[in-house]
Amino acid sequence: MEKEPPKYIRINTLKITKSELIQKLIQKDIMYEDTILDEVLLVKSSRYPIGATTEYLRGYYYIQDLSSCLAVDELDVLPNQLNLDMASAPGGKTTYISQKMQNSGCVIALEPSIKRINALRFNLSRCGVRNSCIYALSGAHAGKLGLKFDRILLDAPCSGEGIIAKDPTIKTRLVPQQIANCVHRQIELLQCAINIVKPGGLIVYSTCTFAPEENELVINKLLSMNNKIKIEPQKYGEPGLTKYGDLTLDQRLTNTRRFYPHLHNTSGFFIAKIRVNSGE
Amino acid sequence: MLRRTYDRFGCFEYFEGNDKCILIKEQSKTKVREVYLTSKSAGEIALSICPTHAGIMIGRLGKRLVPSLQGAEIIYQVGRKYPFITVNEMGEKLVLYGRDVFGQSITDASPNIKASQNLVIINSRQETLAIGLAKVPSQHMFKEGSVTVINVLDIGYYLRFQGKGLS
Repeated sequence: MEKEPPKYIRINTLKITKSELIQKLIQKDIMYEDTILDEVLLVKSSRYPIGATTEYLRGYYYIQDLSSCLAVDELDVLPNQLNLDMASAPGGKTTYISQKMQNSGCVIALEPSIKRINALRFNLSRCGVRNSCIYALSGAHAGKLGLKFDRILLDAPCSGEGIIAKDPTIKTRLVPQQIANCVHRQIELLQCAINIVKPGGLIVYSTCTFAPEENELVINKLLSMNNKIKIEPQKYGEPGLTKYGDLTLDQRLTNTRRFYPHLHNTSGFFIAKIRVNSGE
Repeated sequence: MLRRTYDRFGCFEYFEGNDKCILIKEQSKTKVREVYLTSKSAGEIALSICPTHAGIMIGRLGKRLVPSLQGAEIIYQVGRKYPFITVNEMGEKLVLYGRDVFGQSITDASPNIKASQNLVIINSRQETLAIGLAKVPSQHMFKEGSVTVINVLDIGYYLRFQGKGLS
């Protein structure tokens, strides 16, 4: 759990092609390996910090864990859509959504904290994102915008058990009440997302925690409350839990996915792909 | 005024393209008018529901357009008519640390730069590193031992200041 996490970079094809960036990486003695996603590279070694190169500052790549990229990949984003990132700062997933939209259509980025909006603005500008609108708004109030979205990404605020390697203090400061608070917020955000997605639209719910309370149990609750949602299968990862302690959960949860550091060489991560039916 | 600026720097067609939208937002407190470049859809949404930020802020509008770092980069890359200086590898490193530019770091410069003129600082691969302010005209730009271009804002600024004091 505390092993240094692998470093991944996502190539920002809004600014550079993969082959052009690879040439630049080779010139800088940055050794890399391909991953399951074409735009994402695993950095094996580098002479300089990869967050301080001219290439990074110019937005040719974004330092981002593979699991985060997989969440966006599962969103099946297409050009000219109207998409929403409900908890967008610092902007890694927003910039990837924009990249997949080829800077067309619009991606709405919500972030209630002005301080975090500064980081979001910096990253969107650095990556050359033109198709974004940032609103200083909590994801739970996204309905106030009066818009309906093709795709919604909810990378929910969570207890962060999956990123203990990056922040070891989580081990000592996390208390059960915090998980309960996160669960409450996650369900509130997901309910909001279901209300503002277009019929037939897609929601990707993700967390960076192992806690079943914040993952399968949240989706299980959602399935029991809504008959118009469907959990879609995914390409990568381990199937979600359908049993937890004495609880037997909805079998459809096998379509959710878990990512583990020791199996997938990523942060601990959870992804659920939720299709909201038209109700016909 | 904006169109005259685009035309002057050879990027009229880029900014007037069908897939793009230019928005001008006046800050309520400062009355500063900021110019944003967005996709057409993002522009339409921003006009109906005013966002905190949209697309790329390309500059501030007063008596003329003062390009932002991103704006100057686009204007330079598209039209290649915006004044520039090229710096060598050592100059590139110093610029990214926020330092001003010495004459010996400059390998090329636009021919008609005047003192106090805005310009872009680029590296040998023609990648924009910063916006600068010329202290001297073109013919004195390469003078060794003296700062000839002031680094106004470079692409490393955010990481150095971690967002503090930025608007």
